[in-house]
Amino acid sequence: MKLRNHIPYLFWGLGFGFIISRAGATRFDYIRDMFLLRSPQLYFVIGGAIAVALPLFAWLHARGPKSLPWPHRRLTPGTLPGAAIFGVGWAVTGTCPGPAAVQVGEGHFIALATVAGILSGNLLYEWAHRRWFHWRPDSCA
Amino acid sequence: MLHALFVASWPGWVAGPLIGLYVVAFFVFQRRNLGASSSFASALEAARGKDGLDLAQADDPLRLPFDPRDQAPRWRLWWLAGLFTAGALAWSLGGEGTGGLELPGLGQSFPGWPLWGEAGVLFCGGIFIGFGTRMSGGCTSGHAIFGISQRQAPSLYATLVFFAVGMAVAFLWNRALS
Repeated sequence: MKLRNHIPYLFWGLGFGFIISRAGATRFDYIRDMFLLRSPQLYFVIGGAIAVALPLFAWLHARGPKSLPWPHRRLTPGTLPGAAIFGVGWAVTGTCPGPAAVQVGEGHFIALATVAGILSGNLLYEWAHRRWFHWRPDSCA
Repeated sequence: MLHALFVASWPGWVAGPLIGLYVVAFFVFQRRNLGASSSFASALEAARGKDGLDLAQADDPLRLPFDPRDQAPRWRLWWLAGLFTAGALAWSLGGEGTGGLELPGLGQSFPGWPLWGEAGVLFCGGIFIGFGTRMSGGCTSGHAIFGISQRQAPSLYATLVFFAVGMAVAFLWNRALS
Protein backbone atom coordinates (compact mmCIF):
# COMPACT_ATOMS: atom_id res chain seq x y z
CA MET A 1 0.00 0.00 0.00
CA LYS A 2 1.41 3.34 -1.01
CA LEU A 3 2.15 6.15 1.36
CA ARG A 4 -0.33 8.33 -0.52
CA ASN A 5 -3.12 5.96 0.49
CA HIS A 6 -2.16 6.05 4.15
CA ILE A 7 -1.71 9.78 4.71
CA PRO A 8 -5.48 10.50 4.84
CA TYR A 9 -5.72 8.25 7.89
CA LEU A 10 -3.27 10.48 9.71
CA PHE A 11 -5.74 13.32 9.25
CA TRP A 12 -8.73 11.16 10.20
CA GLY A 13 -6.83 10.25 13.38
CA LEU A 14 -5.99 13.89 13.96
CA GLY A 15 -9.67 14.84 13.78
CA PHE A 16 -10.85 12.08 16.08
CA GLY A 17 -8.03 12.68 18.56
CA PHE A 18 -8.70 16.42 18.72
CA ILE A 19 -12.42 15.95 19.35
CA ILE A 20 -11.89 13.44 22.17
CA SER A 21 -9.15 15.62 23.63
CA ARG A 22 -11.46 18.65 23.77
CA ALA A 23 -14.34 16.48 24.98
CA GLY A 24 -12.25 15.56 28.01
CA ALA A 25 -12.27 11.85 27.15
CA THR A 26 -8.51 11.79 27.70
CA ARG A 27 -8.76 13.11 31.27
CA PHE A 28 -8.38 10.71 34.17
CA ASP A 29 -10.70 12.81 36.37
CA TYR A 30 -13.46 12.93 33.70
CA ILE A 31 -13.45 9.14 33.29
CA ARG A 32 -13.55 8.67 37.08
CA ASP A 33 -16.44 11.15 37.40
CA MET A 34 -18.26 9.32 34.61
CA PHE A 35 -18.02 5.98 36.43
CA LEU A 36 -18.94 7.56 39.78
CA LEU A 37 -21.96 9.27 38.12
CA ARG A 38 -20.65 12.65 39.24
CA SER A 39 -20.64 14.24 35.79
CA PRO A 40 -22.82 13.63 32.72
CA GLN A 41 -20.14 14.99 30.33
CA LEU A 42 -18.85 11.71 28.88
CA TYR A 43 -22.33 10.19 28.82
CA PHE A 44 -23.32 13.11 26.59
CA VAL A 45 -20.26 12.42 24.44
CA ILE A 46 -20.85 8.67 23.99
CA GLY A 47 -24.65 8.98 23.99
CA GLY A 48 -24.57 11.95 21.62
CA ALA A 49 -22.33 10.05 19.21
CA ILE A 50 -24.69 7.06 19.19
CA ALA A 51 -27.79 9.30 18.96
CA VAL A 52 -26.45 10.87 15.76
CA ALA A 53 -24.75 7.84 14.20
CA LEU A 54 -27.52 5.28 14.82
CA PRO A 55 -30.21 6.89 12.64
CA LEU A 56 -27.68 7.87 9.97
CA PHE A 57 -26.35 4.30 9.76
CA ALA A 58 -29.92 2.96 9.69
CA TRP A 59 -30.74 5.30 6.80
CA LEU A 60 -27.54 4.32 4.96
CA HIS A 61 -28.29 0.66 5.51
CA ALA A 62 -31.71 1.08 3.94
CA ARG A 63 -30.95 3.61 1.22
CA GLY A 64 -27.18 3.75 0.81
CA PRO A 65 -24.91 1.95 -1.68
CA LYS A 66 -24.95 -1.83 -1.32
CA SER A 67 -21.16 -2.01 -1.39
CA LEU A 68 -20.58 -0.59 2.10
CA PRO A 69 -18.71 -3.09 4.32
CA TRP A 70 -21.35 -3.60 7.03
CA PRO A 71 -19.90 -5.59 9.93
CA HIS A 72 -21.42 -8.79 11.28
CA ARG A 73 -20.14 -9.07 14.80
CA ARG A 74 -20.34 -12.51 16.35
CA LEU A 75 -20.69 -13.19 20.05
CA THR A 76 -17.65 -15.36 20.77
CA PRO A 77 -16.89 -17.01 24.15
CA GLY A 78 -14.43 -14.14 24.65
CA THR A 79 -16.70 -11.18 23.94
CA LEU A 80 -18.18 -10.71 27.41
CA PRO A 81 -15.28 -11.92 29.63
CA GLY A 82 -12.97 -9.72 27.55
CA ALA A 83 -15.30 -6.76 28.03
CA ALA A 84 -15.23 -7.33 31.81
CA ILE A 85 -11.41 -7.45 31.84
CA PHE A 86 -11.30 -4.28 29.75
CA GLY A 87 -13.73 -2.62 32.19
CA VAL A 88 -11.25 -3.16 35.03
CA GLY A 89 -8.42 -1.63 32.99
CA TRP A 90 -10.60 1.29 31.90
CA ALA A 91 -11.47 2.23 35.49
CA VAL A 92 -7.92 1.74 36.79
CA THR A 93 -6.07 3.70 34.09
CA GLY A 94 -8.82 6.22 33.37
CA THR A 95 -8.44 5.64 29.67
CA CYS A 96 -9.52 3.39 26.84
CA PRO A 97 -7.20 2.55 23.92
CA GLY A 98 -7.87 5.61 21.73
CA PRO A 99 -7.37 8.29 24.39
CA ALA A 100 -4.21 6.53 25.66
CA ALA A 101 -2.39 7.53 22.46
CA VAL A 102 -3.78 11.07 22.68
CA GLN A 103 -2.66 11.37 26.32
CA VAL A 104 0.96 10.71 25.35
CA GLY A 105 0.73 13.43 22.70
CA GLU A 106 -0.79 15.81 25.24
CA GLY A 107 2.46 15.62 27.17
CA HIS A 108 1.24 13.22 29.86
CA PHE A 109 4.22 10.95 29.41
CA ILE A 110 3.10 8.75 32.32
CA ALA A 111 0.54 7.40 29.81
CA LEU A 112 3.46 5.67 28.07
CA ALA A 113 3.09 3.12 30.88
CA THR A 114 -0.56 2.58 29.83
CA VAL A 115 0.44 2.20 26.17
CA ALA A 116 3.20 -0.28 27.09
CA GLY A 117 0.62 -2.18 29.14
CA ILE A 118 -1.86 -2.30 26.25
CA LEU A 119 0.80 -3.72 23.91
CA SER A 120 1.89 -6.26 26.56
CA GLY A 121 -1.74 -7.24 27.15
CA ASN A 122 -2.15 -7.90 23.44
CA LEU A 123 0.93 -10.14 23.42
CA LEU A 124 -0.28 -11.92 26.55
CA TYR A 125 -3.68 -12.53 24.94
CA GLU A 126 -2.11 -14.01 21.81
CA TRP A 127 -0.12 -16.40 23.99
CA ALA A 128 -3.15 -17.28 26.13
CA HIS A 129 -5.39 -17.75 23.10
CA ARG A 130 -2.99 -20.19 21.44
CA ARG A 131 -2.59 -22.12 24.67
CA TRP A 132 -6.10 -22.33 26.08
CA PHE A 133 -8.81 -20.88 23.86
CA HIS A 134 -10.18 -22.76 20.90
CA TRP A 135 -12.66 -20.39 19.33
CA ARG A 136 -12.10 -18.26 16.27
CA PRO A 137 -11.75 -14.64 17.40
CA ASP A 138 -14.17 -12.11 15.96
CA SER A 139 -12.70 -9.40 13.78
CA CYS A 140 -11.34 -6.82 16.19
CA ALA A 141 -12.78 -3.37 15.72
CA MET B 1 -14.09 32.14 19.98
CA LEU B 2 -10.58 30.76 19.50
CA HIS B 3 -10.43 30.05 23.20
CA ALA B 4 -13.69 28.10 23.10
CA LEU B 5 -12.51 26.08 20.10
CA PHE B 6 -8.93 25.28 21.02
CA VAL B 7 -8.46 25.78 24.74
CA ALA B 8 -11.68 25.16 26.64
CA SER B 9 -13.26 21.73 26.99
CA TRP B 10 -16.18 21.32 24.63
CA PRO B 11 -19.59 20.53 26.11
CA GLY B 12 -20.53 16.86 25.72
CA TRP B 13 -23.59 17.70 23.64
CA VAL B 14 -21.28 19.34 21.07
CA ALA B 15 -18.46 16.79 21.04
CA GLY B 16 -20.76 13.72 21.11
CA PRO B 17 -22.79 14.51 17.96
CA LEU B 18 -19.54 15.56 16.23
CA ILE B 19 -18.11 12.09 16.93
CA GLY B 20 -21.35 10.60 15.60
CA LEU B 21 -20.97 12.52 12.33
CA TYR B 22 -17.29 11.57 12.24
CA VAL B 23 -17.85 7.82 12.45
CA VAL B 24 -20.54 7.88 9.76
CA ALA B 25 -18.30 10.00 7.48
CA PHE B 26 -15.37 7.66 8.13
CA PHE B 27 -17.47 4.63 7.23
CA VAL B 28 -18.83 6.23 4.06
CA PHE B 29 -15.64 7.81 2.74
CA GLN B 30 -13.05 5.24 3.86
CA ARG B 31 -15.36 2.19 3.70
CA ARG B 32 -13.82 0.74 6.82
CA ASN B 33 -14.87 -0.02 10.36
CA LEU B 34 -13.19 2.08 12.94
CA GLY B 35 -11.83 0.95 16.29
CA ALA B 36 -8.94 2.06 18.42
CA SER B 37 -8.02 -1.17 20.20
CA SER B 38 -7.06 -3.02 17.02
CA SER B 39 -4.60 -0.23 16.19
CA PHE B 40 -2.40 -1.51 18.98
CA ALA B 41 -2.67 -5.10 17.72
CA SER B 42 -1.84 -3.70 14.30
CA ALA B 43 1.24 -1.96 15.70
CA LEU B 44 2.47 -5.32 17.04
CA GLU B 45 1.87 -7.00 13.68
CA ALA B 46 3.80 -4.24 11.92
CA ALA B 47 6.67 -4.54 14.43
CA ARG B 48 6.87 -8.24 13.60
CA GLY B 49 6.94 -7.51 9.90
CA LYS B 50 3.43 -8.78 9.21
CA ASP B 51 1.00 -6.75 7.19
CA GLY B 52 -1.99 -6.92 4.93
CA LEU B 53 -2.96 -10.34 3.69
CA ASP B 54 -0.45 -12.02 5.97
CA LEU B 55 -3.03 -11.43 8.66
CA ALA B 56 -5.72 -13.40 6.86
CA GLN B 57 -4.07 -16.83 6.88
CA ALA B 58 -6.86 -19.22 7.71
CA ASP B 59 -4.66 -21.78 9.49
CA ASP B 60 -3.91 -19.50 12.41
CA PRO B 61 -6.95 -18.07 14.17
CA LEU B 62 -4.98 -15.18 15.63
CA ARG B 63 -4.20 -14.02 12.13
CA LEU B 64 -7.84 -12.96 11.86
CA PRO B 65 -8.20 -10.27 14.48
CA PHE B 66 -8.85 -7.79 11.70
CA ASP B 67 -11.52 -7.65 9.10
CA PRO B 68 -10.34 -10.29 6.59
CA ARG B 69 -11.83 -8.16 3.80
CA ASP B 70 -9.48 -5.33 4.72
CA GLN B 71 -6.59 -5.62 2.29
CA ALA B 72 -4.29 -3.19 4.07
CA PRO B 73 -4.84 -2.95 7.81
CA ARG B 74 -1.71 -0.85 8.24
CA TRP B 75 -3.93 2.24 7.89
CA ARG B 76 -4.68 1.71 11.60
CA LEU B 77 -1.09 2.62 12.46
CA TRP B 78 -1.42 5.91 10.61
CA TRP B 79 -4.72 6.58 12.33
CA LEU B 80 -3.03 5.87 15.68
CA ALA B 81 -0.22 8.29 14.77
CA GLY B 82 -2.93 10.86 14.03
CA LEU B 83 -4.34 10.41 17.54
CA PHE B 84 -0.91 11.06 19.02
CA THR B 85 -0.45 14.12 16.79
CA ALA B 86 -3.86 15.43 17.85
CA GLY B 87 -2.77 15.26 21.48
CA ALA B 88 0.42 17.15 20.64
CA LEU B 89 -1.62 19.77 18.76
CA ALA B 90 -4.01 20.21 21.69
CA TRP B 91 -1.04 20.56 24.02
CA SER B 92 0.72 23.13 21.80
CA LEU B 93 -2.51 25.18 21.64
CA GLY B 94 -2.62 25.17 25.42
CA GLY B 95 -5.77 23.07 25.71
CA GLU B 96 -7.31 22.49 29.13
CA GLY B 97 -6.03 19.33 30.77
CA THR B 98 -2.94 19.04 28.57
CA GLY B 99 0.70 19.31 29.57
CA GLY B 100 2.38 17.92 32.64
CA LEU B 101 3.73 14.43 33.16
CA GLU B 102 0.76 13.41 35.33
CA LEU B 103 -2.77 12.89 34.06
CA PRO B 104 -5.28 15.46 35.34
CA GLY B 105 -6.76 14.20 38.60
CA LEU B 106 -4.50 11.15 38.85
CA GLY B 107 -2.93 12.34 42.09
CA GLN B 108 -6.32 12.48 43.86
CA SER B 109 -6.87 8.80 43.18
CA PHE B 110 -3.34 7.89 44.29
CA PRO B 111 -2.78 10.09 47.36
CA GLY B 112 0.83 10.03 48.44
CA TRP B 113 1.94 7.56 45.76
CA PRO B 114 5.34 8.02 44.09
CA LEU B 115 5.35 8.55 40.34
CA TRP B 116 6.78 5.10 39.62
CA GLY B 117 3.98 3.54 41.68
CA GLU B 118 1.34 5.31 39.62
CA ALA B 119 3.12 4.33 36.41
CA GLY B 120 3.22 0.72 37.62
CA VAL B 121 -0.54 0.71 38.24
CA LEU B 122 -1.17 2.29 34.82
CA PHE B 123 1.01 -0.40 33.22
CA CYS B 124 -0.93 -3.19 34.96
CA GLY B 125 -4.23 -1.55 34.03
CA GLY B 126 -2.95 -1.29 30.47
CA ILE B 127 -2.40 -5.06 30.42
CA PHE B 128 -6.08 -5.49 31.37
CA ILE B 129 -7.08 -3.11 28.56
CA GLY B 130 -4.92 -4.87 25.94
CA PHE B 131 -5.93 -8.39 26.99
CA GLY B 132 -9.61 -7.52 27.43
CA THR B 133 -10.11 -5.55 24.22
CA ARG B 134 -8.34 -8.21 22.15
CA MET B 135 -10.43 -10.94 23.76
CA SER B 136 -13.63 -8.98 23.39
CA GLY B 137 -12.87 -7.69 19.90
CA GLY B 138 -13.35 -4.00 20.60
CA CYS B 139 -13.37 -1.15 23.07
CA THR B 140 -15.28 2.08 23.59
CA SER B 141 -14.92 3.14 19.96
CA GLY B 142 -15.36 -0.21 18.22
CA HIS B 143 -18.08 -1.65 20.47
CA ALA B 144 -19.84 1.28 22.16
CA ILE B 145 -19.85 3.88 19.37
CA PHE B 146 -19.43 1.98 16.08
CA GLY B 147 -20.96 -1.31 17.18
CA ILE B 148 -24.08 0.00 18.88
CA SER B 149 -24.69 2.58 16.12
CA GLN B 150 -24.58 -0.24 13.56
CA ARG B 151 -26.93 -2.31 15.74
CA GLN B 152 -24.49 -5.12 16.45
CA ALA B 153 -25.96 -7.02 19.40
CA PRO B 154 -22.60 -8.42 20.66
CA SER B 155 -21.27 -4.86 20.86
CA LEU B 156 -24.25 -3.74 22.95
CA TYR B 157 -23.75 -6.61 25.41
CA ALA B 158 -20.00 -5.95 25.59
CA THR B 159 -20.63 -2.24 26.25
CA LEU B 160 -23.07 -2.99 29.08
CA VAL B 161 -20.50 -5.35 30.63
CA PHE B 162 -17.50 -3.00 30.47
CA PHE B 163 -19.51 -0.06 31.78
CA ALA B 164 -20.88 -2.12 34.68
CA VAL B 165 -17.45 -3.49 35.61
CA GLY B 166 -15.81 -0.08 35.25
CA MET B 167 -18.41 1.47 37.55
CA ALA B 168 -17.99 -1.29 40.13
CA VAL B 169 -14.20 -0.88 40.17
CA ALA B 170 -14.43 2.93 40.38
CA PHE B 171 -16.97 2.76 43.24
CA LEU B 172 -14.86 0.24 45.20
CA TRP B 173 -11.73 2.30 44.66
CA ASN B 174 -13.52 5.46 45.77
CA ARG B 175 -14.76 3.70 48.90
CA ALA B 176 -11.26 2.43 49.70
CA LEU B 177 -9.95 6.01 49.42
CA SER B 178 -12.52 7.55 51.76
